[in-house]
Amino acid sequence: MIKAGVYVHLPFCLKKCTYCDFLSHPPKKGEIAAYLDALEIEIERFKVEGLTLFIGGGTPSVVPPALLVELIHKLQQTYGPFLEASIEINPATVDRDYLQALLFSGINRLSIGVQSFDDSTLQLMGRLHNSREAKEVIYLAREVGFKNINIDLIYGYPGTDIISIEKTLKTAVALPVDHISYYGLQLEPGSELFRKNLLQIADEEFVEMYYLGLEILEANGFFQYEVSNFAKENKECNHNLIYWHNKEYLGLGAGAVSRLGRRRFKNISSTDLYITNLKNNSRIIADSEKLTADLLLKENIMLGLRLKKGLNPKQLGDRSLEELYPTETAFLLKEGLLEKVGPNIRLTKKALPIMNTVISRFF
Amino acid sequence: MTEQDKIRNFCIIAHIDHGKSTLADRLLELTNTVSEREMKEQLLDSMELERERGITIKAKATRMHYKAKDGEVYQLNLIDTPGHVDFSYEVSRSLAACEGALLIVDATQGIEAQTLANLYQALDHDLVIIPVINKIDLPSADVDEVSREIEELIGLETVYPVSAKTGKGVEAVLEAIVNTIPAPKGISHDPLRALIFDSYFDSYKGAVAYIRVVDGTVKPGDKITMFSTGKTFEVTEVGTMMPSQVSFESLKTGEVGYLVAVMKDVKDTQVGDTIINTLNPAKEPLPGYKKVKPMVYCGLYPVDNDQFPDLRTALEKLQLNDASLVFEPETSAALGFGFRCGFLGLLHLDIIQERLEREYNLSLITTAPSVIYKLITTSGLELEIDNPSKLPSVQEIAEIREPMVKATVITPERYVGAIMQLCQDKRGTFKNMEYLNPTRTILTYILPLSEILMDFFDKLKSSTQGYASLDYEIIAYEKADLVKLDILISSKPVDALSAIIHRDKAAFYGRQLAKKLKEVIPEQMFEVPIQAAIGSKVIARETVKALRKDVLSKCYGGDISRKRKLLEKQKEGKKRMKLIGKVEIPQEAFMAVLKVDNDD
Repeated sequence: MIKAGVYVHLPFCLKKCTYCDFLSHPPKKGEIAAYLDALEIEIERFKVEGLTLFIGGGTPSVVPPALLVELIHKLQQTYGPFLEASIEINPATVDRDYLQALLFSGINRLSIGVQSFDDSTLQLMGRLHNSREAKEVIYLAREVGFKNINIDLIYGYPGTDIISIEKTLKTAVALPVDHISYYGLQLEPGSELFRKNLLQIADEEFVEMYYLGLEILEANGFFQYEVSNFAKENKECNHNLIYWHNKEYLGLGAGAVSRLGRRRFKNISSTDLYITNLKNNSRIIADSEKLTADLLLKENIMLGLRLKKGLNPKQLGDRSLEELYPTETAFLLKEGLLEKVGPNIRLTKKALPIMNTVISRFF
Repeated sequence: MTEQDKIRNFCIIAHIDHGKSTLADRLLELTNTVSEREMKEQLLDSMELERERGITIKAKATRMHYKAKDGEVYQLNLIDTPGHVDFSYEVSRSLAACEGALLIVDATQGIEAQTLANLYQALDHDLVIIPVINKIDLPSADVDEVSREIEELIGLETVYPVSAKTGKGVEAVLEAIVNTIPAPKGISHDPLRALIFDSYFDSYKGAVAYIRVVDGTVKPGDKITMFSTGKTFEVTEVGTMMPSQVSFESLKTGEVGYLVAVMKDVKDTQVGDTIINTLNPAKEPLPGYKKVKPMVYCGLYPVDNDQFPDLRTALEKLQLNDASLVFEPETSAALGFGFRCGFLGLLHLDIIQERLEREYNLSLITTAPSVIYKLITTSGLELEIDNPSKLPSVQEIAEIREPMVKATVITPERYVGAIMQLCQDKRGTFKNMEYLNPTRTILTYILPLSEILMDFFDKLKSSTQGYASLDYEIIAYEKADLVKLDILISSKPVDALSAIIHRDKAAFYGRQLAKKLKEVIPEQMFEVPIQAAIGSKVIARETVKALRKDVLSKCYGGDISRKRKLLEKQKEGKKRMKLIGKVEIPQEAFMAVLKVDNDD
């Protein structure tokens, strides 16, 4: 049987954040139950051996605990047991009972959407929680028994500065967390923030914020293993590593993406259609793509260079980047944008903020 | 069959937008040549591009039959003329095929420089002028004022006010054509002499010539010879446009129509050439033929070198229809393989470039247009230079000469100061100033053609709020103190960015050009120094800073395809840039020399 990571998308949230363009919306009456019924049908369509589980959203914790636990049981029965089972939660949506229910159902990793520990920043972002509530949830999760906790942080939000981001980083590293995702704000055309048309942070300051993150996180034992991801020893996110190693994964739910065998395919984004089509036993795949050797090579370069350990010749069919792209590689090495680490090649610290530009040279 | 004395051949002279095509449409309707239903708006402008730009590039002829008030039926041949300075030779040949011209002037605008130039040409050809004042339906129309202008210019008091849009007054114009334009004078029993005033390429029939039969008759089966080349063909078809092609048994003295003779190439149908009968040849050609010579040259390079053969094929195809387009392969150290192309002028260049990109899907880099410089080397050699990068080193040059034009500007009086300033900035010499009426003047200047190519027209328009109009003709080559300005990017000279500039302006241009290039070259992964140099002396330096950040993107939910596609798109965007050394340079950089601004 195929071994794969399993991703489940729950496209619901209480309120859309200003920067968000993901597939999520406040649920209509009865929609959550109908969606979970549809998910059950989809789950039965696939037989894989699950390595990791990741329940993301939206805000999965908007789903009432009883329904969520039922879903997790179904996933465990069909694909489990999972080595790692993560769920995204938002500070404003959970309490002790909720967390306990998650832990008992087999969830062993929490990913908390903190974004900032600066209250004025949180307000700007349109988050429903404040910094005190975020800290409380982290302590509560530890108390309940979660041994693997991630928090998401965002830098570069309009109206913030290097001082506010430093405060957030210093608060974060002092908390009992094991993993920190430190994302630069991406202005997405579908988001409210984009429409607001605010003055964006200058490139120089944005990059300064990123490097400050690298410095503070590393100094406090959170080691960078991917462009935006930092973990205490052995606490890397195995599920995300499946993506970055371009291995197989099954994505369930509206808009979810799977990669099984030589194909990558994406479900329809409309929740309504997703529900009706599954009920009517019809197709829910919107896009499908055959991964040719050429595409896989490009993707492996794109993904491998995101990792701190770099791109291994094994990911390129036992050939080195230098063999495949001699002029480009030599040029980028000379410019100090790539560096060699043993047999691997990785981006230098200088290249990280311009990763896309560097990587696109191989496309 | 119409008798020779019932034939009237005429053309329309008008400024862009003054309503030439609309009036032509009304004439076709009123003579029942085309019904209103069939009438596409502005029927005579067939090429899509022409329609979009609202100008007519290729002259055509249309035959109408008009029953006049005297009860007789007349054959009217409307010869459509191009309306742009680039095509002034074609205009002169079209005029030579007529006995009369309608001069259309917009009642809200008055006479413009281009109209004036064509009007003088028409007078030179002894054409009878029928002044038509158009757009009288508009509230701002000033028929009296425009009539005064016309009277001032050509002494004609009888004007025909019309609204081509509504059709008002157009009937009177038809009567004037019949009554005032003389019938063609040729001699029907003389040997054939026919003037080619236009041609086009048809993929079935080959080159098709538009002709005016001056003397004699031509019919299918006739053996004909082109006077300038001596090439001989057999006529397979003659006819006329009504407005679609209708073939006839023959074309007789005074008639206008098309001729097909299995000619493979429009080069066989040179505009201005005389067609004679091979077996009964006329001894003298018709006057006025000259070989059209391109005035403006630029390099055309495919962004993607693999497209070089496609570019060649596309140019060859365009040349089938356009004998004035010339090209030959050239190599640039910076841009690779491409073609040096010669054009009649900037509009011609623009049209060709756009057609290559639009109809042939080519992505092109166009280098800044250059005039042809004549130079004498210290060893006494005479050279023609159509590419600045080919200018020899200073030590080898004894003298450089550049083409000069006589420029005519018509402008409301209040802008005279601004225009004089502009002409002075552009190394112009004042020649004359006349009043067209108390508020409008005609200014005449001698200017270097290269300055006109730069941005003269844009500047003229902006400094006169669009009111001034310009016409020019090349008159002579004059000695000038010119130097080559080189651009170095990342310390390497980029031949395609070289320019020939007057010494007094070189330092200023160098600084401005470097600054402009800094604006258009995007940030790269490393610093890019830009230098402007004359000889070995660097006169300006700018630096494009290294790229600081692109998006530090997350890779959520495994949608790796999307991410990959974004990078592919980023790469695709770069494909439109030229990689010179390791620096990616966008297409517009090569035109930057034209966009150098005097104001900052």
